Amino acid sequence: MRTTLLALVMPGAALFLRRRYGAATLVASLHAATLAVLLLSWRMGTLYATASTTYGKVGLGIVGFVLFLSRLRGVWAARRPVDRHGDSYWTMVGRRFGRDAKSHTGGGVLLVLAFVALLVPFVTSDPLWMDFSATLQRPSATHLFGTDMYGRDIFSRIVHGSRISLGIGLAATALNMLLGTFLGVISGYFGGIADAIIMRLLEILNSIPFLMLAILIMAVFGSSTGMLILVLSVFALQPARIIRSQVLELRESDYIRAAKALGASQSRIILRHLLPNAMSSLFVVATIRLGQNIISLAGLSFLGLGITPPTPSWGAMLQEGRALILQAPWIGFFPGAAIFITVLSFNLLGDALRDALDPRLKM
Amino acid sequence: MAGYIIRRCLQSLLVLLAVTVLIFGILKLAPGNAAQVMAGLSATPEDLAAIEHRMGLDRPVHVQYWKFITGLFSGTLKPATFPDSMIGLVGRKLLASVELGFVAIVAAVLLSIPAGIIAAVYRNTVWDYGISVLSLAGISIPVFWIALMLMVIFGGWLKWLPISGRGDLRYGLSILTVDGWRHILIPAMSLTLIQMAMNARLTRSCLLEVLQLDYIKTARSKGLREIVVILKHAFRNALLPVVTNVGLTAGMVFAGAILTETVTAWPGIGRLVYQAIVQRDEPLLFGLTVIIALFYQVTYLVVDLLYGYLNPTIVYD
Repeated sequence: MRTTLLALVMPGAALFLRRRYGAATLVASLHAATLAVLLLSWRMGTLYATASTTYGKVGLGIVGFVLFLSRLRGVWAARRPVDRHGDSYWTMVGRRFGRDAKSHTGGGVLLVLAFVALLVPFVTSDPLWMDFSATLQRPSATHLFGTDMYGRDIFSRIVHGSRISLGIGLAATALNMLLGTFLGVISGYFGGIADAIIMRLLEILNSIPFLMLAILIMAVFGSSTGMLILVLSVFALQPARIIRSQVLELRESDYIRAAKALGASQSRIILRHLLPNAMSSLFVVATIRLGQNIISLAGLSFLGLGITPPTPSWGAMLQEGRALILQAPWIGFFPGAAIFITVLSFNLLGDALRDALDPRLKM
Repeated sequence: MAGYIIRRCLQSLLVLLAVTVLIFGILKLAPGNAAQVMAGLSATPEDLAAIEHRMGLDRPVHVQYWKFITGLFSGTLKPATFPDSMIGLVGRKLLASVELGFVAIVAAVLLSIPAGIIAAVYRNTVWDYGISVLSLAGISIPVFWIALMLMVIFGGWLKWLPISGRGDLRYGLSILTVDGWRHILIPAMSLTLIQMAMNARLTRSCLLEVLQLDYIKTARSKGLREIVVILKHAFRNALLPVVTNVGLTAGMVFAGAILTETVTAWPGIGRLVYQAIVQRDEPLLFGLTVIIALFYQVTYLVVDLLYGYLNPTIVYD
């Protein structure tokens, strides 16, 4: 009871008491960061969303409640033993995942981000609205992250940009994983000529920098959201290789042989036996790819070939800030920090997921 | 062994051919062509046709491709937007990229491997958490952002370092002059950070795996000092994947780090690739593709051979 209360008031305190200083500092600073984000958005809600302040507060209230719940869950999970006799694999995975400080940090930040992205219209002002009487303002109470050369509010633009980054990132990763799994399974399970073709294809894609190919395609075909998703998902097929090696390993296992001996059809073996067991690495790869895709997307936008202005996107904002980086560093600092924090959260989540699913998996 | 190398080289040639076809195909499939970019918006159809004819764009695609390939080998293929010859231009830029990559990789190896060892040896302590979190942060940082921030800090506020270019050269190299070193630091640091993070993570996880093996127990029970066990017994075997990773990333960085070089105006291959694409310089892009793909293939071969050398249980035949 005491630990639970302590954890609610000051997360990480219990760890301090247990002399696990590293983990304690990590947890405490993470929760401090989430609280700060929450407080900031609350302030923005009252400052900007004049017409919909109530909605803003309700929305942020929901964010707060979910965060509270997640923390509660974390505290609860931390008080149970990790592995107990008779648990199923996924129960153990869930528990290990729930105990990991990394998953709490990454998950917490992403949760806030997801809510902010969903509740965008209630939280901030118009990201395209220019105020020429307030250009290049330093960060202040009215403009939390300052304003750019057109007097647009950077905080508002970053919040709006989160929709693009997360949206395109998610779509591209989903498509990427689908394609990668398909190719990986075909190549690993059936082998032969299909395997040879797919592997040669991957080899060709591996012989030029992905970014070079992406820049070229975006430059000659023109940039659009669909094209971006396509480029990010079709030309980065590392997942296929990972799935393939996983399938190759599983194919020789006893239970697959048993299924074959019992006369199970190819599709049944693949869908019921192979894929569920390759799932753990799929999850891990997907989280890490998401982060990578967000960076690639920002990189393309930064070079002027991704999301084009005036649509607020983190990469394009960074590009706008580049010209004035010495005079007004905040224009470039905040969008980059947003990318960094988002990608870091995905990587933390992926790391925790990997540790929970299979500590031996290396990626 | 010799047979293996020859077979690998032949395979690489095929891959190289496929890569050039891929890039050429993308260029030709795209709407518009280089002549339109060159002629500008106000050109009449006659002007455009004349330019297209001069550049050979009105001929069938396979003829154009063949002309590019033969031109590349006979040296007649020249960049459209640069006055230099292909070899001269690419060679000069390649030198800059390799130089930058070399500094970054050496720094990354020197810093990351000790960090990885410390994290693995002091597992689950503050050191381990600190290094793990830092290296996770390292792989999450967008390289173009960290380069800009280094410029702000070291160029803007502290005024220690210049923020772009290569500075004074000697024999075409920056690292031989003091001014050149001042210029190389910011791009090298931004590249190093990510390499460092990847290597430190890899060193840690590989070392942890090796430390659980039986021969480590044997070494310890023989009464060897811990430092000898770790450095002489465990580290050597944990080094393999790290060497592979360093080799692969080195090849990639040598062939041009597009974003880093563009942000810091480092005149290397990466920046040239970006310029060639944006200006639609098809001959230059074609030449660059060949060079870069060649670099990648050579890297893969060298890494595989190195792996066989370091791990005698692997035999290539």
